[in-house]
Amino acid sequence: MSTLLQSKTLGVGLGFREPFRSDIFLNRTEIDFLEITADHYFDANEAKQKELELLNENFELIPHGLDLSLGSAEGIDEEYLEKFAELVEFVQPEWFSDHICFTRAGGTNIGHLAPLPFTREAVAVVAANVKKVQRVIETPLILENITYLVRFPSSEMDEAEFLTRIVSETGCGLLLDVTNLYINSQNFAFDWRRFLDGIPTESVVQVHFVGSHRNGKRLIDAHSDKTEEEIWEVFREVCKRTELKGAVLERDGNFPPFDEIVNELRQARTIMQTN
Amino acid sequence: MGLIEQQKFLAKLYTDDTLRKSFIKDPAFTGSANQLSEIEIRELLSIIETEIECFAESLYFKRLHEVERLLYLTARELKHDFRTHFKVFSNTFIPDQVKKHLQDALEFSEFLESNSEIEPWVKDLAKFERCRLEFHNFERRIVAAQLKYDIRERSKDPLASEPALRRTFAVWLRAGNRTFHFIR
Repeated sequence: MSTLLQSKTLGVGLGFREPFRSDIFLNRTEIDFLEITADHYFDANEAKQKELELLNENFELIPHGLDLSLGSAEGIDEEYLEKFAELVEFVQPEWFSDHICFTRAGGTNIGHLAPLPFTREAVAVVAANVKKVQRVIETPLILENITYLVRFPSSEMDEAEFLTRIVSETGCGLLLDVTNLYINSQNFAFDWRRFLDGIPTESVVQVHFVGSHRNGKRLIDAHSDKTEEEIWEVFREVCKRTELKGAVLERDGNFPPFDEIVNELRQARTIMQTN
Repeated sequence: MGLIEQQKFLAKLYTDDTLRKSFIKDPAFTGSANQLSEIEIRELLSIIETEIECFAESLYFKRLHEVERLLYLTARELKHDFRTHFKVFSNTFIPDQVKKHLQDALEFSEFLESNSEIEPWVKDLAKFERCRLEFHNFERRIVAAQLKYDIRERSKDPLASEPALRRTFAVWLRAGNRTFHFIR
């Protein structure tokens, strides 16, 4: 965390998606920084490389990975890590991020973020993998909580304690996805305030926010809806408990007119400044 | 079983319909064949029909939606059959590259092109989309597709009549920063 404490505060940013390409330049004063999906720039073709250069010249960028698979007991994919390191070297960000999960095992790529059992063994696996990443990339890594549909009866602790132990073992900051937290609290009937009581909120460096999406009985993280009041409430509470360095709106689909995006960024900025 | 073995089994369970069905049907046999202890079998059995099945379904729909987006013309023509064919395909292929949705779309297109149940002109549409994706994603200087049907009108308008049997060439070219595409 010591290096992270020296990182500058970035403000309110937007997850870059191709349909936003022209609007982000037309609304530059509303966007403090961009979060880019790291994987989209690995083995980049000429057009993607130029896009990266253009974004890097005009915005502060934070690379966000999808597939480091920090919870893989078989270890990190070295080729993936090398590509991530090259991107971080090029972008020179304040920090970069990935998820507390596993995405591959035994040669099978699951294709999405799969949850870990909340066990001491899983904490040790994440810690070992993070250390390996930290040996290759000096820039601070922050770790994101995921939504989950699977919970393991063999878990030895709750999620808050699991995250706390990981933060303690790795020295990483947290990327707290307030939408994921809200979704999990609704799907599995727990109090998100108690969850916040249980984690070291001073370690939260950045948050993600976007609306949740109802799919039958469950809420899911479709990243396709406007942020609802319940999630703004979680955001407000996090801001009361810690001084965030960044907040990112993570909208992936069902794109509204860009004015709506700008309004959400403004609302986040107001919350960060007044709390 | 340690976490490493558990993750290997879970990764297969999340992505393989057949394995999930066989585990539900005969947990003791499938579990022990995958080195699961009795306790582990009981644990997974207690969540397989609710949580694991639900997660597996979400993974499947995520793949499907990405491939529908990349092969939008083919998806538009096949309608519900697109999903039926993708269900079969998804059990035979799991992408393993960084650009997994692109890999999925390219492989699925080839799967459709070799499928005898698909109308020949729809196969041409799938081929057209595969070539377009290859051109735009792999920095090729030139990509050409020889098609049996003239898909030009139908690709622009889903209400246009079915494409006529007429040999057609679709070509994508790159010269410096500029790209060109024509279909004749």
